[in-house]
Amino acid sequence: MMRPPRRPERSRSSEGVVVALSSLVVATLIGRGLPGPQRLADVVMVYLLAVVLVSMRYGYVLSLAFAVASVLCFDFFFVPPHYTFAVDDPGHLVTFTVMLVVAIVISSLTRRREQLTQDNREARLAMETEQMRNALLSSVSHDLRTPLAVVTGAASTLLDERISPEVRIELTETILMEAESLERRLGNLLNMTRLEAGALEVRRQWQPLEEVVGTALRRTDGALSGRDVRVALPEDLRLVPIDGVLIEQVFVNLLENAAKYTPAGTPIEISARDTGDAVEVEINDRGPGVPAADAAKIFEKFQRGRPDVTGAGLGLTICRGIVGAHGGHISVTRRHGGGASFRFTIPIVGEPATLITETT
Amino acid sequence: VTTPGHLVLLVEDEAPMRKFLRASLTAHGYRLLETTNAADALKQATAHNPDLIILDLGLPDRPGLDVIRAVREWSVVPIIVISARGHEQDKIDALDGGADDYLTKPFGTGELLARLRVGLRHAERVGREPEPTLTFGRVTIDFARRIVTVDEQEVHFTPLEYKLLATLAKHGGKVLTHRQLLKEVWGPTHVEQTQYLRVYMAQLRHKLEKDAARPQYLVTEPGVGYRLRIDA
Repeated sequence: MMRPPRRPERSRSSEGVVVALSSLVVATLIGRGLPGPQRLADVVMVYLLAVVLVSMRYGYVLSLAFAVASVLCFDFFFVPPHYTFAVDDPGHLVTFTVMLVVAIVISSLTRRREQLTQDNREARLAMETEQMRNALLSSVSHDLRTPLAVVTGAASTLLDERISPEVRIELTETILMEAESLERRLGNLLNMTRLEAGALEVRRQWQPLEEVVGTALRRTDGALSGRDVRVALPEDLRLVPIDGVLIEQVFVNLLENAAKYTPAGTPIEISARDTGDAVEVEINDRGPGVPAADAAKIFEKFQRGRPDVTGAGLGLTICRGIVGAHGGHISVTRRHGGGASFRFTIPIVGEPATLITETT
Repeated sequence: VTTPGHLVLLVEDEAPMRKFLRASLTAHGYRLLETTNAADALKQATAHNPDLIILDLGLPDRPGLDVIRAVREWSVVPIIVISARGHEQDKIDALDGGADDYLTKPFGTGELLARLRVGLRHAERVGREPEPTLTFGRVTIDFARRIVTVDEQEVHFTPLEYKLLATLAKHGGKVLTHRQLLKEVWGPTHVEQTQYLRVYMAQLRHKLEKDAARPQYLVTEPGVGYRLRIDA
């Protein structure tokens, strides 16, 4: 937890000494300047006020020292015999004690108040963090509970002996599918947390885009079943400096979105081109497209394309985070002829070590 | 499945995982030894000499890597490690440290059994004459004549391409880390040059696969390495 910055102790205490000394002088002068015959009770009040003021601002040690100094000043200047530290009337000892006790009580009260303020501040910070966490949790818990509910239901049904073998297989397949979806969602959630914490480590390596597209296609095989996914990468496309595992996640999220938001059987196209200082990747579909008004919003956290489609609304936020971590940019436009066109860039910085050429 | 079944040492501290692995392995005729920690795993491995070890990398007492290294001092028994998703470096360390293959949690029975078969097949081949040819799908490699055919048609490979393919084939089905492949094909001074490897893998795919973006044989293990799938 972050603590508010504090003034350095040393400067604070030296400031305290100056303030205390001047207060002592001022209190003494006021005491001397009181009109009419000086009543000791009035003078005590002036000193006491100074003790209170000093104790309210500074710690124990200084407050006590100040109280002792006040007592001495009071004794020296006002208590007969004047200008000596001798005391005629033992009753004044009570006055001295009271001044000391007041100094102790006030400075300890001040310390407690400071502690409380500090606690409050920490509590408020903790509450705000907690609220953010709750927003994330409530959005995500639905997303995780749905597959869990299916798993629980299907598994408990399987325990029933009267279930036919066909249904048994069907339920088992359902459990497997839902568990896999749960795993994917957890993965996204974890990536999101890493992105938010700034803990996403990008391990760039020069590699052909084709390989990453390949692993992404393998991972989305189930979601894209029955789809015509066309891959059109130029044969001579240069190597890109990317973290393969992360960029694969970008492809997976974009492809899964395409599978979720476009009608079954409609084609998806993956293409890329060299723009000189970057490689630009496009994932195009023939679905309903994204309204221009939503084009920026859909990359925000918890934004879902349609409320009836399941998902926590983190997929595109993660894409933006990963692409951004590579120095690139992601956007969506309406596609000519209908559909959505997601486009992201991978800036080319530096160049890979040249290959050892082979003579064949 | 041979009788009596292969003896598998299962080192896993989580009871539900053991339960599912036990059910699946015994159903497929494997005999099973179970333990929950590294110290006992080493004892069991020396006492019973299992045919294969399945080792969870997240053990309570010692890092799984220690177990791999200790076992490798005296045995070539296939070791398949189990590790969590996102812990790619752990997998690489385990593989470079002598493990034969890995499974990422969560995994299904199909994947588990496939890894076991590959591991046992390799163990059986240790010390024997290498097969003169290898056929997978549309591809046949003739090691003696250094000829590769796809759909009965001879395909030309550069020496490095052939060396890379032959290395993958020699360990057919098994995952090989970037480092292992680079060391074997390019030599120990090039183990960091993963882009060489990636470029050559792309070239191999364009020559062997129907669709290089959807490889059937030359499979990428993201962040770890490659494997040649020969039972596709």
